[in-house]
Amino acid sequence: MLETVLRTAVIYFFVIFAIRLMGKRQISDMQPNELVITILLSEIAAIPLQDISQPFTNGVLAIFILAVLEVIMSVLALKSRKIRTMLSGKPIIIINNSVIDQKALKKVRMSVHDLTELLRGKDVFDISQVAYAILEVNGELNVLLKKEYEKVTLSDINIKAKKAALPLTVVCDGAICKDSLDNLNLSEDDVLKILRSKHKKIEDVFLMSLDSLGNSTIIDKEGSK
Amino acid sequence: MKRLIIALVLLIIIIVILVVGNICVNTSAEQTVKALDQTYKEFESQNFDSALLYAENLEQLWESQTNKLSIFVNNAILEDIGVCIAKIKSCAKYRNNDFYSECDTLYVLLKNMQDEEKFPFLGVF
Repeated sequence: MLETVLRTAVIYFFVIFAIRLMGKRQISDMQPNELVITILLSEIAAIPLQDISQPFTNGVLAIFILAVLEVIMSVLALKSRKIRTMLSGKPIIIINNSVIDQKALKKVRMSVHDLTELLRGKDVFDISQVAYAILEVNGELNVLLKKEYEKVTLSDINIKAKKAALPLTVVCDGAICKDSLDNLNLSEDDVLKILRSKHKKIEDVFLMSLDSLGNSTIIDKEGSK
Repeated sequence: MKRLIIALVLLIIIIVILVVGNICVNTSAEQTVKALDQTYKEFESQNFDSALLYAENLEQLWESQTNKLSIFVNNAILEDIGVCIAKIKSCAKYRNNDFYSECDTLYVLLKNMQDEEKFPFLGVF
């Protein structure tokens, strides 16, 4: 019993380490080879937990061999296009100038219903609006609309936009986030000064964001004055 | 690049563990076979007291090796070998002729344990 508890705890940390080593993404963003590794990893991690007679080393070694192979293959894929194609496949153009490439559709074993569903997921309800639709290797469909159906941007109507600045959270639940201050080149005193100018105490602030242009947003804690 | 270095270090660690495991299992198996040979010889020469002494030594030797081996070998195999050695000791004690068949079983079990840790490219498939 105790052995199972210990094994589970140790395997947990080993699996986390292996996944961090591989630098995994969300399941929906995974390349085919990454998905295979993730499925294998979860299966292999369970073996030494289910079968106590199995040496613990076998499970751990298998986890690390998968992680090492994944890292090595991803480095090779980065260097070689052939290996990348072999591991992940190639993106395929499914719609070209509003015309569905039926051969390509057959090749990826996708029905028209699947295609229209993916298009609807991209807010496209009429195929005639599509200039290009590309099926990426992770199964996501990316759509480029024809120019006449694209959303109007400020530059289209010659409006000069304000400079964009990324707002960062500087106060979170009454505490200053030092990492954000470093990015904004500000000190804690600067934040406190801004709060004083708005007649707020830091302990009453639930969230405060600030951007490099000095724009701030403050949300008070519930129940504070 | 950092990840690749960690991966390569891990790969080296894995290879070291495999090699150490292989050496450890082979050495233990060889030592056990040697101790078993001595017990067998003594029993065959009808030196039953001496055979029992060697059988006890064999049991002690195996017990001292079990913990180390459990890192690399399936515990079920280790238990089978342990049971077989206990039977050999018992047969030596009561001068039972099943001793020979139990020794043969132990030889096979030890050989299997060694084979499990070899690098059998055929075994992969």
